[in-house]
Order: sequence, then structure tokens, then C-alpha cells
Amino acid sequence: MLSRTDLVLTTAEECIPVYRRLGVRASFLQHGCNPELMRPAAPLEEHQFVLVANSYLGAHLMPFRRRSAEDILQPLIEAGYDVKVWGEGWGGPASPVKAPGVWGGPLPYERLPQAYAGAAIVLGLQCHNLSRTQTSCRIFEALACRALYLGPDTMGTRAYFTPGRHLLLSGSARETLALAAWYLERPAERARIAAAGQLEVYRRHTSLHRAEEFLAEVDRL
Amino acid sequence: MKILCPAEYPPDLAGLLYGLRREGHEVTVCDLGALPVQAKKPAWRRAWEESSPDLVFFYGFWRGLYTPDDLAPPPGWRRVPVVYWAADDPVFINGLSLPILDAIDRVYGGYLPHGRLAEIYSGAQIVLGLQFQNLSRTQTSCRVFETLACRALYLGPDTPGTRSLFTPGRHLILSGSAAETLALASYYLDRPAERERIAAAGQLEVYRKHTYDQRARELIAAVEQL
Repeated sequence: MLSRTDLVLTTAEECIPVYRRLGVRASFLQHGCNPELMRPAAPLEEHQFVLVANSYLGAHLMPFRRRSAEDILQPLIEAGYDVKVWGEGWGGPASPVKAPGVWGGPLPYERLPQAYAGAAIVLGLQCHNLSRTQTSCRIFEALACRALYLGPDTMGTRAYFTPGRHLLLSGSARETLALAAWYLERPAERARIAAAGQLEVYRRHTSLHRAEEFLAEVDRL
Repeated sequence: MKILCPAEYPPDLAGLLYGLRREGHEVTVCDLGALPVQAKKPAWRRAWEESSPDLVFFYGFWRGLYTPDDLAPPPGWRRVPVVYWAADDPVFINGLSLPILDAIDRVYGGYLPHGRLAEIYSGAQIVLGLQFQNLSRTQTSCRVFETLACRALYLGPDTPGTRSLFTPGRHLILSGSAAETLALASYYLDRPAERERIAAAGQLEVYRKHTYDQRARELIAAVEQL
């Protein structure tokens, strides 16, 4: 069958055969970070934990989103840590972000590095844990800002980063609380992992790397 | 290389475009998200003509910044590669990526109704249909019209809405039970001439009474009575 789209680039490697079966040329392209924008900055506000994410908790296509909030975000709020959440959609009745002052509303993208700079640990969420390669683009951004990232333990994330070396991953509320207690007391450890994470994305996952990969695929058309 | 893109949002896409510019490529962003609906399509065509791209590159239709129709190429366009970044896979491959490919087929090909639908239908001896309900006197699936337009033999649920427009055994075939479906299947699979006769009558019926030209005239007539 003939398609008018000459090439589909997907962030989920396992989707490639789906496109190919339809007669569409497909290849893999991961998210990345723009190092000109995503780098250490002066802090916006100081918090123990900062999450910058739209909620999407009610999205029925993404059941893992809620699970990841239950594993990562909720236990920290319930344990009384100083958590700040930026992004859209956290105002609903089922939102775990209810305490006054926790939700700061949407954050302009250019202030992301400042929001991350004021956090001892930056939190992340994921939409699913089924892909071999797909992970949130927030991870690349957080690591580029030299933040210590703590997010859900998914295959896609592990395909690119090693927990305890480039970032922290948790598979349960209990593990999140254990990691929080351990790393909040160890600023030098946090700085070491954050620096290794930044080096890793600057080495392999910048917009320039992605542009080169994009061009290599286009050249083969 | 000259690359044309209909948006520089979300940031993910902006990052990649930044990388392409740094690599020395000329990236033109026709920022359709910033334009009112009616201005998007002409602005895109103008940007295309002015930049004469070697490549058209777009992301998913992020939060309604533009639609597939806005991305129609200018008349007489020179064929250039069209590349799509499906960055919401795998969650939205069915809800977003595949419908986008189909829409792009339609807008860029212009030779197939609903992209590959016609090809798929023409490879079937009998095209199946489903319905959401059987309560309406008039409501039926738009797939019925599309199938008949492709001169395919349609077999679907027997609903009042479908019967109000088409006659079973003449324009299409309808079934009210699994047993009836199996009986119709075995009867018609053995009779290609019968299938062809019904499919041709069905096509004639929709081409006569149910094209979008006719719907447009009905809409205008309704509006004029306001």
C-alpha cells in the first residue's frame, strides 16, 4: 500500500512494525534536550521536591499515570515533605495535590530550569510502563539542568539511564519514601548523581544528537 | 536542506528544530497555532511557496494548533518527503498517529477517500459494518456511505436507520443475527456476479443521493431559511 507520509519517526521502538505493516517507512527517534535552554539556573523557589507535569490523571488511556502519581507524588505529600507541583490539571476533586500552596499552576517552559534549580529532588511521572524505549521528555530536561531526578521505574527509562548512577527510580510508594529519606540527607550523593546524569544527556541526548539522527534517516529516503 | 514545519511547539519539537538549525539547515516555521482558523491554510501554502522546502516535517496535531487540512500543499506542488514525528507513541498510536497518517494520505494524495480505505475495501469480497444503535429512524454509520461509494458489497446490522436509506438485497445486505450473517456469507461468497450487481446499485444510489455536494446544498438551504 502506498502512503503519502514518507517517514514516521516514533519514540516507541515497538511501534515500528505497526507502521511497516501499513507500508509506511518508520524509524526510531528519541526525545532529547536543548542544552542552550536546559542548564543549571538560579532557583525560582526552594523546595525539597518539585514536580513539573500536567496531571492527566483522569486519562483512561494512561492508567499508569495514576499509578505513577500514587507511587511517586502522593507518598511524599502524605509524609509531609515540602513538595511543589507545577503544571495543568491538578485542581480536580480526585487530585492528590490538595494542600494549599502545593500546586503553583502552569509554569512557562522557559522557567523550567529555575523551578528545577530550587529542588533537592525533581520528581517525574510516566504515562505507561509498556514501551521498551518511550520515556518522558522531562527526564532529559531535568538531567540537563543537573537536577537529581526521581521517577517511576519503567523499561523505557532503564533503557537509557541507570538508577543510582544517572537518576533514581522507584517502583512503589515505600521505595519512594526510602529513597527520599536517604538522599535528602546526602547532598554530596545527590550532586554526584545529578552531575553524572547531566553528563549522560549532554553526551548522548541533546537536540544536536537528535538532529543528526533525524538527518541520517532523511538521507536514506 | 530547507525544512518546512507548521509549528515550533511543543518544546520537544522546538529542541529538534534548534538542532537542525545548528547543523546548518534552513528551518522555516509557519506558526499555524498563532493564526485564526481561516488564515492557517493560506498561510501554510504561502510559506510553502516562499520557502520551497526540500522536506516537510510535522509533529502530532498538538492541542489543535492545526489540522491535516491546514497542511494541504499548494496546487502544483513539487513532490517532497513528508516526515512525521509520532512522539506520543505508544499510548496514542491508535488515537493519534495512525489517524494522522490516514489524514495526510487524504490531504496529500487526493486520490483516495479516507486514505487507504478504498484500497482496503477493494480487496474485500464483502465489507463488514457495525452500528452503535438501532433506535434511530435515520441515523446510520457514515461507513455505509463510504463503502457503497467504493462499490463494495456491504454487510452490516439490520437497523431502521440503514433501512430508511438503503434496501437490503438491492443496495447492500443486512443481517439481524449470527445465523443470518453466516447464511448471507455462504450465499454471496459463492456468487460474485450477485455481489457485483448489488455493489454497483449501492454505488449508484450513494452517488445519486448521498455525496457531500448534496449535503452541502442541504446545509446551505437550511441556513438560508434562518
